[in-house]
Amino acid sequence: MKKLAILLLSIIGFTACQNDDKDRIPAETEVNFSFTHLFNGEEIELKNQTYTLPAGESFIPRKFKYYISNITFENSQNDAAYKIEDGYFLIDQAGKKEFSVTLPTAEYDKLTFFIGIDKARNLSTDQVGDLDPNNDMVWNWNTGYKFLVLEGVWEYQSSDRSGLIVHIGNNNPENEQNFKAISINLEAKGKNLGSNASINLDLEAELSELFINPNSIKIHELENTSIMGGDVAIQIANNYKEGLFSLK
Amino acid sequence: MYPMYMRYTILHFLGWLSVCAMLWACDDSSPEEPTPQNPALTLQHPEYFPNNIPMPADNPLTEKGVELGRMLFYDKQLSADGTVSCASCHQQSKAFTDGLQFSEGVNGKMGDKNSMSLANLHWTSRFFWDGRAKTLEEQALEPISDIREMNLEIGEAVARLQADQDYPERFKTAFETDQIRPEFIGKAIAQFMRTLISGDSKFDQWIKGEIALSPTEQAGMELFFTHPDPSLQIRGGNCGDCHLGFLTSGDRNGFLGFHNNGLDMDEHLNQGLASVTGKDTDRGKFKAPTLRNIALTAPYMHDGRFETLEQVLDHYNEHIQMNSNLDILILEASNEPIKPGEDIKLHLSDSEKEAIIAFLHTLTDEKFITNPKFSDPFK
Repeated sequence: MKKLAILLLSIIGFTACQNDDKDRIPAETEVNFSFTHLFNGEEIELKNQTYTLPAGESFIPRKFKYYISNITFENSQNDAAYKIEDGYFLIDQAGKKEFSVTLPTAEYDKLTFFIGIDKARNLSTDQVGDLDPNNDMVWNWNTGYKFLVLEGVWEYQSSDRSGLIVHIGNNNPENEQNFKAISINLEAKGKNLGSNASINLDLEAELSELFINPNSIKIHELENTSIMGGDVAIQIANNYKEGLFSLK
Repeated sequence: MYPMYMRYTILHFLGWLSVCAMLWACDDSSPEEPTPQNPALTLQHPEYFPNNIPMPADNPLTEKGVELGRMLFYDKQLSADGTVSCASCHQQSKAFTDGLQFSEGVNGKMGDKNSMSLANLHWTSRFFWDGRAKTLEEQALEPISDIREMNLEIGEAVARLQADQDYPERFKTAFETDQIRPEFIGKAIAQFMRTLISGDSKFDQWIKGEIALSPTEQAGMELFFTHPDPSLQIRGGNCGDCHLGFLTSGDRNGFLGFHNNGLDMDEHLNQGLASVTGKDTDRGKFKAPTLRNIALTAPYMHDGRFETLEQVLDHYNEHIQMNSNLDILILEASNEPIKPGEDIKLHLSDSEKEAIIAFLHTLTDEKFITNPKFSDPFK
């Protein structure tokens, strides 16, 4: 009998809690980011699969990784914003493709994040999060980080086999060139932050966008297949700003 | 000098967390679980070595396992005629290599690969130059029965140890049974090999902020870790593209740590990784080994073809042989703008090559090659 009473009490207690939870807005929201990388709509893999670049060249990707940083949630009605401090996340097709951040619960309808590392952190030797120099993303240990890396085997018509090496970082650390903000409208996808304890933001990156929008880049018309600085790097950075990411 | 030490306090904390997790994991009942007579060991390593690599669940590190493994590593009984032990080709004074192009097994049989250094093995994956062993446990057994090495059928190895007056008791303490099995031999040797950690070189002291590198060593380090980019006036030696980070060893993911480094043209490519994967595109790919203690481990490459570090640098700088599997990060690396159709050259200057070699010497760890815990227990 006593046992039954305890059981009943605990059930009541439990349901009471549940009711409470329903009414109460959680103090914090956990936002779970995940990234999927596509080539011409197909999820990429790094095991010798050949893809066609927009200019008709064949490409076998070997490495695709980039930094996400300076994540900010904004409310376009009242201009409120919350920035994730010290949030530097390395996304790697061969490794980790998700991360989570937590922020005080509030209404946000817009997300902004950057590809790359801001000047302050790019030129400092302090390492937080994924900025460990062992992650194969530093130019060398003095001159900052590569923001986005794409490497693979490249061929065009009867040309020799070449390596397409795309390493985009700061051409000029003083003006943060190639450190680009990406804006995502959360409301349009029904992904506003508000009263939820957690929300999943699944982002897709379509790699062909790196070569078409707004700048059309034909590798076979370039002097060589390494893009690590200069004008073409700037063009690719503008492409990743514009069309690379979309929210599922 | 860089205040690198502080950055790793968080990693250090995570390290302890993972140690706790490991100890907890060991609570699962397995025949090899640590006992009061056989306490669990944790690897003692620099805090900036990754802390997130677990021990194999079925072979936790234990005091008696390591002790037994060390004996087996140095015991010549494990060769057919009792003349060769693991340590014959993996000598501590040479960072566990033997200084020879190819090693001689029993009956004067010659191998066809250069003896690999044994250091920081817990942080690498796939063993042997061609990656044929998935685990260190599996690797440890192979040389015993290889006819070019110790040439002792593994059943015979078990029988010899079982008949020994000492070993059955030692296996019992380490693995809770005195019925010796090949699996336990592999596990014990693997445990000992995991303790062979090299983390007190001049480079390590620099990482911890204890010393400064000379200007030449510093320049060499920066070249070592940099992929060159003539369009940004960034000069680089391109070494760190394969020999990654503080460990200077290959990528642990899948076969990403295996590369074709342009030693031969297509018609002369050794099978390498292709003998494991069966893929033509893996011909001539070999494991990127750690470069720690590299000044002590001549000759170099999978076939020991280069006698000096100068020859190695010359190879990468100006003698790359084009072949259809050449690593793209070598194919596209140069300190001068690359023009289609030209030979592949890094275009490092003589002083830059000397600087890289000076840096490579900072990877020598005197404590590693004299640590009494790694030496012959029978002496």
